[in-house]
Amino acid sequence: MKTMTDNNSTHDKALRMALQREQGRMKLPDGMSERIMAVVREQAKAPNASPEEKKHSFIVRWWPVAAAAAVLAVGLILLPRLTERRELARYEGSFVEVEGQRLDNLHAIRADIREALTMADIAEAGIPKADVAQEAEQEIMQAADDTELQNLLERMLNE
Amino acid sequence: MAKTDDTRVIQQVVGGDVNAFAYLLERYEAKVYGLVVRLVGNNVEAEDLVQETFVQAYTHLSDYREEADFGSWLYRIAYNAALMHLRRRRSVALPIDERLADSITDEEADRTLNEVTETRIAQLEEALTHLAPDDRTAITLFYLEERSTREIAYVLGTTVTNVTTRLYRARKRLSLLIKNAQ
Repeated sequence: MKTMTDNNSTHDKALRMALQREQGRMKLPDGMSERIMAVVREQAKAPNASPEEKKHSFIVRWWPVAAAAAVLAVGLILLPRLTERRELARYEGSFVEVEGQRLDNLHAIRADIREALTMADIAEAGIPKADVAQEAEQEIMQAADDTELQNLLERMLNE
Repeated sequence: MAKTDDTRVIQQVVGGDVNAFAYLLERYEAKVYGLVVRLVGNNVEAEDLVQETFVQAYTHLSDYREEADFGSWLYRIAYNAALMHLRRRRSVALPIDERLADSITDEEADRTLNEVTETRIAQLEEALTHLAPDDRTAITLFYLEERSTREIAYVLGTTVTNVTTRLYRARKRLSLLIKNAQ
């Protein structure tokens, strides 16, 4: 395939001449420059239309971006707190007694709740599940204070 | 020198001197008008499009980054405005059978486009009006404005390879149109 390169100015003379002749016949409409300049001057008077004002409007358009960034920053600060509040709500009703005084403000006792949960996890991990069940059965049997009830519970547990 | 002048004037206009824009208008309006008339084939519509091109150029002058020279940047605006106009007008180029165009040999195209006779030049002028807008723009910028394939690629928003192929095919289409007219 023949390729078109940028230095083949001597090629296609007839085509070049046809284009030049066509261009030579083209006459700019009378007064076109003046009409265009008049429109450009009008445009310059319009707000945010001239190139320099456009620069300014470009700066102004950054405000929504700045506002969005501020909202995002506030959101990032508040998000952990909201998450914590939602987390604590799961332990509604929990309380801690300190020197006989009952504290049920979840936010104030969150450290105690976390500690209790951590201890529970450690205890659960350290005891085999079968032992936990056996211990629970024994506690139930010991709590039954008459023989008839103990026999009934034993039957139920064995079934 | 002219490019330096363009840069200086652009800075003046962006700085608020609207009258300095007259220099850019005077320097480029005939070239832009020539390109647009070839694209839309109508003087009145072309004048409106040239006005639209220069007003757009003025309002977006602060966006001009000298990635191409100012002329190419203007041609790109003019080309896009003309293309939008043609789409609204639903204008279609004369369909050319690509297989027939491909049947024209390189030698045949060379001969047709180099034969400097009155008849051939007149035939070429007529054939040029039947080319598709992209082909007409590429041919005009390459042969008349002597723009590089890289600059034409910027104006058309395509690759240098695409422009090279487009020019190659446009030459064959012109040759075919002349062959069919004979």
